[in-house]
Amino acid sequence: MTEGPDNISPQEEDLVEQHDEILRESNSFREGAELLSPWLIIVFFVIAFLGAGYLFWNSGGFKASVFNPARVAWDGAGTGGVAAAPDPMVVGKRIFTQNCVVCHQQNGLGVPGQFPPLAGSEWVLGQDWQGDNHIVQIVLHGLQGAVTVTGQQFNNVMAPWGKVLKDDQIAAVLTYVRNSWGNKAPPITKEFVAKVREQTKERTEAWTQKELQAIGRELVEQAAAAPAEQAPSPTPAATPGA
Amino acid sequence: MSKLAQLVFGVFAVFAIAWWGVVGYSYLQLGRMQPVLDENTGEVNPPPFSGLAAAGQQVYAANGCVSCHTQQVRSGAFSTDVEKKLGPRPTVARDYLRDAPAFLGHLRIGPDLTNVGLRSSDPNWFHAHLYEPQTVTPGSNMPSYRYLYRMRRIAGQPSIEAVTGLKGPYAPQAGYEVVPTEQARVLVAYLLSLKRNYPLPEAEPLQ
Amino acid sequence: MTSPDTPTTIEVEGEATLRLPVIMFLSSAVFWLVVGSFLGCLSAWKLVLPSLLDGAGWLTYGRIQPAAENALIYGWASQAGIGLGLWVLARLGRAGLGSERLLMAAGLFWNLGVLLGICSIVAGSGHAIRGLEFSSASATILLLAYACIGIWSLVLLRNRLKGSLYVSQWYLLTAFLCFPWLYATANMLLIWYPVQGSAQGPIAAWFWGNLIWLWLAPMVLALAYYVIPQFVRRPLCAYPSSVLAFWALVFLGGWSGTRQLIGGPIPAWLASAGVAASIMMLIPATIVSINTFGALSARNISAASELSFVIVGMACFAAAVVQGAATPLVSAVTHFSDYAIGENVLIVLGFVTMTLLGMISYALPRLTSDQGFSQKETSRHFWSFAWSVGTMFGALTFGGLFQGFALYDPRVEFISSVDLAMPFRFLYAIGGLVLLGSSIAFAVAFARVILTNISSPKTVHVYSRPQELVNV
Repeated sequence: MTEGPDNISPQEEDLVEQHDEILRESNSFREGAELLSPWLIIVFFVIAFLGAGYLFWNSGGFKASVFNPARVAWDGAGTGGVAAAPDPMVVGKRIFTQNCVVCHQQNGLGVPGQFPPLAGSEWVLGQDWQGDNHIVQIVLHGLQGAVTVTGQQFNNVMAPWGKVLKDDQIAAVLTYVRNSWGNKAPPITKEFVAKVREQTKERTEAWTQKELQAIGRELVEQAAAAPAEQAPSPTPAATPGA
Repeated sequence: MSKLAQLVFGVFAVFAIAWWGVVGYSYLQLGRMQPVLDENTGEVNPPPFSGLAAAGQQVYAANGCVSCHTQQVRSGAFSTDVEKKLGPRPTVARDYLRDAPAFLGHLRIGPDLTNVGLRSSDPNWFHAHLYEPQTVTPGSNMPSYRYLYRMRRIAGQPSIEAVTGLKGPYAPQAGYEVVPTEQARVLVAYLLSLKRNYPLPEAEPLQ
Repeated sequence: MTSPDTPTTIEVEGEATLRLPVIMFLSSAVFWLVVGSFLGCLSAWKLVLPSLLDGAGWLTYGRIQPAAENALIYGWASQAGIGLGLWVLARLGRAGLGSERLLMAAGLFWNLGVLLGICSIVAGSGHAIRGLEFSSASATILLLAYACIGIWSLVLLRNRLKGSLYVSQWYLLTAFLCFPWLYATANMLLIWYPVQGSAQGPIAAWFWGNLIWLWLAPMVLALAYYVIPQFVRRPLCAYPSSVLAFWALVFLGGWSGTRQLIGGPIPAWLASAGVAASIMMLIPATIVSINTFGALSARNISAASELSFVIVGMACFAAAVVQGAATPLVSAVTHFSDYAIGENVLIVLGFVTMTLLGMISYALPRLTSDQGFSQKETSRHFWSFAWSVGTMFGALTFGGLFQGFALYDPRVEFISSVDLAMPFRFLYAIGGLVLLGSSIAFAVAFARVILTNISSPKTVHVYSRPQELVNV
């Protein structure tokens, strides 16, 4: 230690006054800055610029959903990666397995005499008088009475699923059914299901084959292409099928 | 205002800026997140912990595992974590939704544990590793956690819980077996549950 | 510029009332320095010899290491900073306390809190959040003890004789004002009523950053700014720019914490804001360095005195800020490696500890009637601490680089990174041993000064004129 305890430096006493005087004397920014070399001021600006630039280029657009700093997301892209869209075949298979295999079986062949098959079924593929809307109607409201599927006769009751499954789930499961076990048919969209649901929202009874045959044939592409076209509304009164 | 009052006010105001910017923002944007439903699998992500695994978090915290192990897979800008197969994708905030606390860690004295449940699904391996890490992984500098286990005489049949394959200096002699205590059991359940291989909308796609 | 001839009674009483509490804080701090060094040394050796004392839960690395860190931060650095900070406030403001008993009680409770906290970590109720590992009870005790300390600091400031404020007072005010908010907030949001795990990462990182840059750093900077003009016998050379440096530190210090989560599971902009703040922190660091080093003469530097401690401490401060600013360049390799431990050593042991040790050596003869440490003693202390901290930092940084490259390369197995780091960790452990020895030696010397003086409290040095000593 350079000084003993007895020699108290005057600086300690006057620290506050001395420095306050310096502050008061160099009140203006300019004078204060002159105490620093002008090169240093430039360096400070460069540092501030670097910091701000780093923040700007690595901020991911200041979005809470961007976690990768390399992603410059000023264009409105909110997510860090491509959101994995639900695959209708995967979702549809899951719903089918959870709800439909009890009757229609995992292989889509049904039970002869009891539950109609879905594989190769003209109802599913939208051939003959059947359109895309008919299978949507069946899933929404159910089916009862005598029906003919692939030349065989069935007379049973299918429960309605309109209240249990949402539009996108119905679309997914029908897309799955239409493209499995050798079936090949265009997918059903959830907008189409919503449209069909809206058409028959008052219905409470299951359909019969006769009632369905009275409804005109609608396809998903037609409906998408000409949304203004009004579909013929079916008779709301439910008559027991023959 | 006096000089002191000005200073106090100024410091408070500046402190509050960062407080709102970091803490307030984190609470509002990250602290109220919900798990998301994955349409493809019908599962909720991140999945909830089983009761054992939730208890295991306490043991993980109590023994300071976070002092040596991280649980974050960093994104490609600053790391090769995904290339090193530490996980199928970088982790995001929502992954830690159910963690209490979030064991992000800050050092890799030991390997990253984000997806250790994917690398091994054998509870016995975990038990053996906790009991004698330097025998299971030669060259490891992980200390032994044998105080989480009990050595006892085999009564009749060996317990199904007994840790098998122990070869180190504290391996049980003939007639003795090493069984995990409750703490070890829940800790291993927690480690087995560490998997972040589900997709999340804001995360990178799975590799 | 000189004050009147006769010493005012305010000066005498003021400092006299503060003497015992300050000595108590410093004594406790030195005690925890030894404890923290011991625990730190033990954990460093456990890193190298993992089978060392691994049979019991309370001795496992995962508990000893956080215990060491918390002991050094809350036991040693915080208390030394509080004690010296209050002392400096009293001297700068010529103010005193009404009664010393409240402050002594606060100090006692603070120590109780730290003791309970360390025991809780070692017993296995740690929270695994950096800086918050103490049990909730301990944290509450610390906050309650702090209430008194914080209030007295404001009283000392308010009762100051002169209206203007020197830079040390600004920094001390910042530290004393911010600590309760950040400690209470962090405990509230992470421990007592924890937020969801998804938000805990950034909040914990914010807390750790603030603990360093808005609690420890301002206190230490204030002390350095106080003591350096004494040795160079001149005012600071770029004083007006220290206003800018002060506000820059207060602003940037709050944001820089999230830099440790760069690339991690937080929104990218939060981490980038932390990095940007760390880069801009170079500005206040440059100004501080100019002020502290600018007026040093060759004579100041060559003699190993208390000033040497402070010079090394401030050099570590500058180096730490440069390291922080370089984060985006090196983070890919150095993140999670021993380099990060090295950064921590540089700040806590290099910057904070060295400066505090120098300040304690400076304050001792002014708090007691003792001569303080002799030139030889101070020199020995300085070199042993400097060597140990330098070795630890160097070993960890170089080892961390090797380890980091191994961690970065996808073709290299993890175990290779461990093998590469081992020899450097051995060097780090040796440094830890020397640190322990230095701490014990310092504590013994400190104890000798305190104990030989305690029996004669009559001699209190006051200053009213240079070269005059008034005995009260």
